[in-house]
Amino acid sequence: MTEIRICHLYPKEMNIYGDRGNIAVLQKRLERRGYSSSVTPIGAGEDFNPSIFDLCYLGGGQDRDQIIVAHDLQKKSAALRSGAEDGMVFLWVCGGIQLAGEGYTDSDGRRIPGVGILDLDTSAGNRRLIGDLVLNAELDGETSTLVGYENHAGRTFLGPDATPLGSVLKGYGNNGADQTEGAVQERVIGTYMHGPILPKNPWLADKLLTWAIEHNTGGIPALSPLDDSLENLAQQVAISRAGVKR
Amino acid sequence: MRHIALFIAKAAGTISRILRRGGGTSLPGMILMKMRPTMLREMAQDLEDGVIVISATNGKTTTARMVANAIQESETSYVANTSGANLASGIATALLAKKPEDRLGIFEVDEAALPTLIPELQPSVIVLMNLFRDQLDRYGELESTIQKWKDMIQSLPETTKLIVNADDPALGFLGSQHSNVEFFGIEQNQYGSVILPHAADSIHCQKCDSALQFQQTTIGHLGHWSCQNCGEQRPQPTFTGTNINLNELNGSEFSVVSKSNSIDLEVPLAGLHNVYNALAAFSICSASGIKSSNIQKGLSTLSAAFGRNEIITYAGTEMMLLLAKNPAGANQNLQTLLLTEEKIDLVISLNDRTADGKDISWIWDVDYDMIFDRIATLTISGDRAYDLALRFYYSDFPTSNMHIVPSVEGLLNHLKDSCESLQRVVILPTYTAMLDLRSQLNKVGATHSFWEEQ
Ligand SMILES: [Zn+2]
Repeated sequence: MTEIRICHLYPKEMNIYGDRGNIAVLQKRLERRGYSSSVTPIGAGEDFNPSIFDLCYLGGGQDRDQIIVAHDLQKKSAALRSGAEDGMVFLWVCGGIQLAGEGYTDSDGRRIPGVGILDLDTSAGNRRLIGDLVLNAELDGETSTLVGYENHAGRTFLGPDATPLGSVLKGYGNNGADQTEGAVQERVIGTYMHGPILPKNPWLADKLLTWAIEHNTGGIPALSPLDDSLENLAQQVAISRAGVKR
Repeated sequence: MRHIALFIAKAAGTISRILRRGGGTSLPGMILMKMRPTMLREMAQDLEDGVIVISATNGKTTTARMVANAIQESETSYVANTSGANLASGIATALLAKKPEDRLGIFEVDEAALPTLIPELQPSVIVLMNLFRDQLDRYGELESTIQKWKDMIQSLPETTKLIVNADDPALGFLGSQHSNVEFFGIEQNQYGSVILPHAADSIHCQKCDSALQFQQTTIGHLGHWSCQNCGEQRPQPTFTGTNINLNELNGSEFSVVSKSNSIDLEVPLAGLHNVYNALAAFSICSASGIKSSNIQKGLSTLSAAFGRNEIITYAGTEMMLLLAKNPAGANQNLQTLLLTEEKIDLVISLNDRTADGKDISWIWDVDYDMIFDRIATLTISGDRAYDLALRFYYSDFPTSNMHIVPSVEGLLNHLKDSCESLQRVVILPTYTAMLDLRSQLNKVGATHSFWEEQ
């Protein structure tokens, strides 16, 4: 049986928006299709070996913890970049999208370097961007609506090598100015959308899993469909609570 | 002007109650503060025995109620915001209803509002019980609340007494920055753990940022903590809770050891969190010179605060309401349910309105899995019922045993239809879900309006 190997980076520090729900969704949707999976937590001071993972997850944390993590990531950034070049799948959420970029300039003008697996840069804004977030997302030429929640002070702008994950229907997204949200570059996805993002957006979960299985086996799998009726109901309710008419 | 403002604000409260628009717990105060912004300070200064302020993420309503009960036993007349309206407007409304003989104020205060309310209320005693992650869309990060409390403590006059939970690493450190401070805490006991729960928040040293060591944890990150790097550690409490015996869902007994004294307490509210609440209440009363026998009596005759361990009878079935609005509180409610061997008919109702927090991601940080094998039936309700259903579905809870009824009317009908087979019903609602449920139960005659019970 194929085992999909998931790395959960800094689960102790970066976990404040129900991030473990994303991991649970990835594992269960693999299990329900006959794949096995493993989750390896990697924290501060521990080594990251890019050759033993198919998918790498990093979630959202408090500013204070994010600084601790940013410093530790410096020691892992070369390994993470080599993983990204090798087609490893990344989902880095909230604080994660900022850490994946070139860097973050805080409100005092201090610069915190990022890992550089996404061509984007972030600086602190005056007020936090908080609320429901609804997108029209596009990946591999397919489109889908994504719904979740955002809560961030950073304003993120993409460079030419990254494309947005989607365009904003409701909420602020990357910066509250250009209607973009998230970033995609090869198999690296960064997004401000938590909620957590995957339980209500099975299309995105399955896209990540398709890529992760491909990374593991070298072939593109045909994922069998699952009964997503609860997921779809939860998504519809969230979209209507966000005030988006469809 | 003062008299006119008082008159109009009081009249608004009466009209609001007559019209049944929310019990008038905040509206009169809101009007008063608009008309005369200095009024809160003036009214607080009229209390000759001073003001006690209680703040925390979890447990402030129950603790304030405990303190009020004990003070009642000592025949001191007090004014309090017992309805849980804990912003400036709610406190002003409570003060408007002050009787001439009231000498003392007992106020629970919202943790975000605390720093701005301290200069207004100029309390003689401030009690800081715990800080957990809660409604991040509304309160922001825990760390920013900690910073605001830190600044607040730095500007406190020496005469203000702080009473602080030593077991909360952030608060233990903050409390040590003030000279007039007394700590309370719980001894290591059989209900604690050596593992930090998933939703533990304050796990880094406030002084040096290193990871803290925990010899024991009780609730969330509360416990016996120390920093191996800089030597910062849990302060030695003046009031220590020991010999704890949790008596299933009926309540608990424990002793408070202070100096050379040991006092036995009985609390008719279940769970270790209520031991913390009672310990805080004891510390407050003891530091305010209330006799131990009056505290004992006040705590043992306690009834549940609105929606907290409250029992309601509907369709011939007793139902226990346990307010659950953040991961630490919900986890603690689940831990409490584990104290009984009985199977539970669990009802969870999740709303996402302003008072609940619009961001519902916190349900994924609750360790619901711990009670799966105790659940006889699971009923899921509220604005975001399907999100909650997904939370259980992705933990492999069988969907065949999951009843999803989003509306409160649907929920009550479902409970009525299945009342024959229900054993022990426990309802975990968010704040507005509890209000909805209470109001619907009120319509069918199962409860009274809460402002009629105060
Ligand atoms: Zn330290």
